[in-house]
Amino acid sequence: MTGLLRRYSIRVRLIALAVLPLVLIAIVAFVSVAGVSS
Amino acid sequence: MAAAEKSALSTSVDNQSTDLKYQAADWNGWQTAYAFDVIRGVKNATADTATSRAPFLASRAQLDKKLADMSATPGLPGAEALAAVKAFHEVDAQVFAAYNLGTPAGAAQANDLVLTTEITNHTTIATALESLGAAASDRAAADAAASDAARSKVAVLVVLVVLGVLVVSLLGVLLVGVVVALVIRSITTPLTQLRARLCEIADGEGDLTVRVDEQGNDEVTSISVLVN
Repeated sequence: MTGLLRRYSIRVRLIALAVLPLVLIAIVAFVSVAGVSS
Repeated sequence: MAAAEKSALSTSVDNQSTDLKYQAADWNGWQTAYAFDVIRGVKNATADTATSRAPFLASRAQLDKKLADMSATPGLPGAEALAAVKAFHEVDAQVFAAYNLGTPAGAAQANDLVLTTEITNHTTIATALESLGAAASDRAAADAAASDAARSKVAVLVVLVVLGVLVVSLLGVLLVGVVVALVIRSITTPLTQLRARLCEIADGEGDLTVRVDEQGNDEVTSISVLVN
């Protein structure tokens, strides 16, 4: 997995790391809204 | 209409029909009372201001008001009860006229109407209102049960949604944790290896033929290529 990550520059890896929690929050919000609306 | 609202409406129908039943009993009682006053020979017993006739008329006015109020509630007061009230009114007009004839035959006819036809009319009103109330009571119970079932369903759904959100959040946190660990390792491991190699060279004890790992395509790889 580390070898795979090293294909990308450190800058790209850090940006991906910053975006990942936002994606997670979006998924949780979607699940909540879908559950409440059902 | 929601089950809870239906239940409240049915309870209101039940209460109103019971109230109307008691009002009709009061009305019928006062009619018997003023008839009895006539039989007893009370002077002007059929006058609108007489001791028993006046409460009879007041009770009748109250009954009419309640009937008018009930017309706003669906299912009340019920066609059968309404027809019996109307019949009671009509027969009372006959009773009033027969007593006012002032003859024994008229009084006998009025007595007969009060004790048979009007009692029958009152029984019809009471029975109709009772069955209306009983049906409404059953409906209220069924609607209350439906309302409870709907509330339970909502509560289960809320628990499922909360659990779902918790599970997704937990999985997300785990995923982020794993990715963070991998990214940290992907940056620090090659840097540590490179530092160790450079330390060996700096100490003057390093084997210059040993090459640093050039795997990958990042900034550390570029430095490693230069070192090699």
